[in-house]
Amino acid sequence: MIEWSAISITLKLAAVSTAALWLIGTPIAWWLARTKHFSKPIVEAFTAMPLVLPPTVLGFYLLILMSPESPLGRLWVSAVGESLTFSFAGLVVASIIYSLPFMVQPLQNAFENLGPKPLQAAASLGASPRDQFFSVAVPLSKRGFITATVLTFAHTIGEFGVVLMVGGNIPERTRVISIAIYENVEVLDYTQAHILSLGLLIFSFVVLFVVYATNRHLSVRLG
Amino acid sequence: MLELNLKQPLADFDLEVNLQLEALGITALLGPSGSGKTTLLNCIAGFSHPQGQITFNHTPWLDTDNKLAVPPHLRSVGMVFQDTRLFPHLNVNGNIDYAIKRNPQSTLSKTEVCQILDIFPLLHRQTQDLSGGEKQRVAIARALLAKPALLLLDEPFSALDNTARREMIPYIDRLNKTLKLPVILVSHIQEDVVQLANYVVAMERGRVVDQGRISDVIAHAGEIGMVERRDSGALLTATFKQNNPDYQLTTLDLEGFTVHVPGTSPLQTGDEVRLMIKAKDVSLAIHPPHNVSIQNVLRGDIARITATDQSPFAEVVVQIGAQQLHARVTRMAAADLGLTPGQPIFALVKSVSFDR
Repeated sequence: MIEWSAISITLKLAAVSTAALWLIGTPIAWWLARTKHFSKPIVEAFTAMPLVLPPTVLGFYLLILMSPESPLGRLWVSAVGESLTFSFAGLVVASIIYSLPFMVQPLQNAFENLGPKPLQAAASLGASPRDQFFSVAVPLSKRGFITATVLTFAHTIGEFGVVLMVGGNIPERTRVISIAIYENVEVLDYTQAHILSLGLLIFSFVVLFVVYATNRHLSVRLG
Repeated sequence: MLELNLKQPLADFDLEVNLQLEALGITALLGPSGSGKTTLLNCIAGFSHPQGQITFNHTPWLDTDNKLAVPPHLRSVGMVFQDTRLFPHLNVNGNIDYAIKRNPQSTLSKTEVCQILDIFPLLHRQTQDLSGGEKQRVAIARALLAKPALLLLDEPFSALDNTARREMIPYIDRLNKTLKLPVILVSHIQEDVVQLANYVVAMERGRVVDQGRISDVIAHAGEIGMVERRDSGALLTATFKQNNPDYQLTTLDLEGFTVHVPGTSPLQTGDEVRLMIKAKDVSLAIHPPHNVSIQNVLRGDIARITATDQSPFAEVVVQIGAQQLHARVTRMAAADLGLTPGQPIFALVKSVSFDR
């Protein structure tokens, strides 16, 4: 019996987090790529922290931050009516923070490689800064966006520690694939563990294969 | 009218420019590499941020005292970059349409511009498949369709070989004459400027060292060190008479004298041609010379002679009709011939050529 609810929650979590990170990560990356402000290394360090911190540390603080006793958690409860911890919304918040560097860093690289020159050309043709971003920076950073999206999506699917700390393991609500596998192994249900693990393995390979294949195609096209 | 009063620190020196340019025809910013010419263009376009004021036709673009800096996309100035900066994600047509879409009120039609710059055959090509000259023309077309009131060209010839450069010159000339669009171009290659510019601003180490009509600036380019002294000379205007295909020569009229230059040209009778004649290529004779191989002989009067004890050479300025020719002869030769101002003289031009 395949545990479809875990698969669907995982995919939904990855999709929602990735979409949210487009909106949050892109402006951060754009700012980091272009600013000369003294606070740039501070912001860069904060953004990169999830890469080095054990997920449990991150999960622990997020748990405290989101608990109904904290100001943020209280605000959430009064607005939505349920606790942010051990809910799908809480998982999304945690995933956004945990996967932030996977969105920001490839985009920042892409924007830095772009440099100011194409944007100046666009400005000289009458394009406003906003117009320059959408008509020139985004299409010329296509590879950066593809890489950032795939890494963020895949990384969210694979996360374990933070999800366990913040989401717990509530079937149909916060139980994702990685946790389901862990539990299957704990109770020695290797068949179930195999089904999910092999599925994740194949999924990861296909996604990465598609990225590398498209990137090669893009590199030919963009010269 | 473009009024500039700017100060911008550069790596080794400050760019400090105080200029009023009529900006009607083609103005050339001339000077050695790293003299601040491109930075000046960037200041005008809004990509560099100097201290001071920029006003174009009474519209202030920059006034740092009043914290005013109009952003680049709101200045009615077009810029053609040295590296063209065509967008690689769009084909030629896409690049052109990019400008049209953002300037729909343009009085210039796409057809007209594509005709002037001869780019109809290129429209469906990818930008990376174009030659250097083709890229330049597309970049100029794209800039024109953004309907600028002033066009800046940053070293439009630097990426081109000699043939492409010779082909490019008429396009820029045509664009100024047909569209009445003022152009400021940066160059350090004197020959291009000679054929194109009406007005020249000479720069060195961030400052304007000379400015004026092209012929005046060329006439003392050697003195102010803008060109090597041995390459200095004068710029003269001649008119095209006819081609002489038997001898592969072009016949020109210069102040009533006939001048032959090598090669034939597609010009029409009466078209003006600018000739850069280097002083070292001109010899002088008291009497009309006979039996010499030099065929281009102009009669005039000595206007003045400049010579110093430090140099073996004297520079003799010869008035020919309304124009002046420079000749470099040794001081000894000048003394032997007894050259004095006002004296009638024959100028023998050894070598002359022009770029079209």
